Amino acid sequence: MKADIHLIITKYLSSQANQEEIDLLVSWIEKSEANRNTFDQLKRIWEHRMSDNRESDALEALAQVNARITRKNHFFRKNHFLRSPLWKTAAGIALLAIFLAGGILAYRPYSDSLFNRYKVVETLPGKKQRVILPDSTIVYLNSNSSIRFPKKFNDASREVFIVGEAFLDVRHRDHQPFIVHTQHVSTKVLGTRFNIYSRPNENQLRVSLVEGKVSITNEQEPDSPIILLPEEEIIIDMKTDVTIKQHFEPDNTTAWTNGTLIFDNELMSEIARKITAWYGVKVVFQNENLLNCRFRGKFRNESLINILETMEKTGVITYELSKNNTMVYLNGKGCMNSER
Amino acid sequence: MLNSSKDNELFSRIQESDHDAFNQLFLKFYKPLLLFSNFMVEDEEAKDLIADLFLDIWEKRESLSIHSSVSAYLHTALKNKAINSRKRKDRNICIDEAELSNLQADSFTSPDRLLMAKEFDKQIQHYIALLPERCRMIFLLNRDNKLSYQEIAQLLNVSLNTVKTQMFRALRFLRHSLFQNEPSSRTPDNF
Repeated sequence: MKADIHLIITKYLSSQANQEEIDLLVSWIEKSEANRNTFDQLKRIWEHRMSDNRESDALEALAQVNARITRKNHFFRKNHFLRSPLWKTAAGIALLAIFLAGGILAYRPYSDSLFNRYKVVETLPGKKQRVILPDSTIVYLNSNSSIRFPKKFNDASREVFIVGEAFLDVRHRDHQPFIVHTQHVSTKVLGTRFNIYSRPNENQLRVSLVEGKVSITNEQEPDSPIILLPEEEIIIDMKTDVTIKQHFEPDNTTAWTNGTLIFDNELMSEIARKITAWYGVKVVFQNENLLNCRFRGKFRNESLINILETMEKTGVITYELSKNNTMVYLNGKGCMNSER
Repeated sequence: MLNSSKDNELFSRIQESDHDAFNQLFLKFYKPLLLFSNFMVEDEEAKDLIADLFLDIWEKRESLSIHSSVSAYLHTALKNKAINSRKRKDRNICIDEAELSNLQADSFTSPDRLLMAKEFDKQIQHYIALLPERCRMIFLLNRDNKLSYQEIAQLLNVSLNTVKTQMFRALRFLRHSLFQNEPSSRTPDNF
C-alpha cells in the first residue's frame, strides 16, 4: 500500500496519473497533515533538477552527428550533380549552420517559455474536478468553472484566477499570501478552507469561510477590505453593490465537493439553476406556477432521473426529458404563491 | 508516457526524412540518454554511443518500427549499444540489492529543516549521489527521463515490483534524509 501511494505520487508528479489516481491521491493527502507533508516533500525532491549545463553540449553533439550524416552523403544519394566535392563542402557548412539555428529554435520550446507560465483547468457543465496547485493547495472545481494558476508561484504571493465555483483548501505559508482573483473582487488568505462562488452571469459573488481567516477586497472600495471569520459568508451583489455578511452552514455550502446536492427549501428557479450546473442540462418551465414551488432534499451522487422522480412524487410537478437528454421540460399543477 | 504522442509524431516525420524532426528528437533526448548511459560507460564513450545511435536511426529510418514509446525504444537501443561496446565499464547495470541496506544517511541533515533553496539543491544532489547505483538509476530514469515504472522494468530486465520497491526506497531515503531530523546512524530500512 505504501509503495503504491508512492507510485501514484510519482505518476502524478510526472503527469502520468489518470483522474482516478488523482482522486485517490487527493483523498490520501487530505487524510492527515503528515500525508500532506509527505506529498510536499516528495514534490520538492521531484522538482529538483541536476544543475549541469549540457544544453550547449547537446547542440555541439548534434552538429557533429549532422556533420557525419552529411559526410556520409545521405542527403544527396540520389542526385549526382550534388555529389561534386565543392558543392558538398559548401552545402555541408550551410546545412550545419541551418541545423544549428534550427536546433536552437527547436530547443527553445523545451526550456521555460514565457507563454507557458500558466495552467488553466476548466470543467464542463455537469463535471467536477479536483486540482492540486504547485504549493499543494487543493482546489475542488465545481462544474462549468475554471481556474488559472502559474505553474510556479512566485516567492511573494500565490495568485490564482477563478471563474465559477470552487472550494479551496489552502496550504498555509506565512510569508506567501494566497490571493484568489474573481470578477471585481480579490480574496486574500494565508492558509484556510473556503468556498468561492462567482459566476459572471449571476452578478453575485459569495465567499464562505469554513476555517481560518480571509480578507476580501472589492475593487470599488480597495481601502476597506472585509474580514471573514469561520462560518461567516459574504454575498456581494455586483449590480447594486449591496454587501451582506451572514452566518452559513458549512456542511451545506461544501456538500457539492463530495457529490451531495442539497435543496434547502429553495425556490424552483434556484433548484433549476443548481440542476443545470450539476448535470449540464437545460431546464424549461412549461407552467408559471411551478416557479412558486419550494423543495427540500439531499441527494448524494444521485442520477438526474432519480432526483426528478423524487420531485414528481410530491404531485405538484411532472417532468419529461428530451431525446438527447439535454433538456428537462417541467410541467404539472405547480404551487400557489405562498405554498411550500 | 508524457508527451509520447509528440515523440511518435517526431519519429514518423524522421521516417519521412524530415531532418528538422531528427534535430528536435536528438536535442530532446540527448541529456536524458547521456544520464542513462553514464550508468553503463564512461562519459566520452557515452557521447559516442548516443551519436552512433542517432546516426543509425537516420540511416535506417525507413525500415525502423517501434513497438513501445519512442523514449523506451531509445533507452533500450542505447543499452544494447553499451552492452556491445568493448570498452564498457566492467560491471553489469543490474547490481545487487544488498547495497541499499548498507546505505547510511550521514550527518549532513540540518536539524532546523528549513533549507534555503540553494542549500536544498546541494543537499539533494548529495543524497541522490548516495543512493546505490541501481536505485539511483531507477529513480533518475523515472524522475528525469520520465520513463514509466513499466518501461523501466522492461529496460532493465527486472520485475515491476523491483522498480516499485526501488522507487519507494529511493524516495523514502531522500525524503527522510532531507526533511527529517533523524539520528544519523539509521539506515533507510529503519525509517
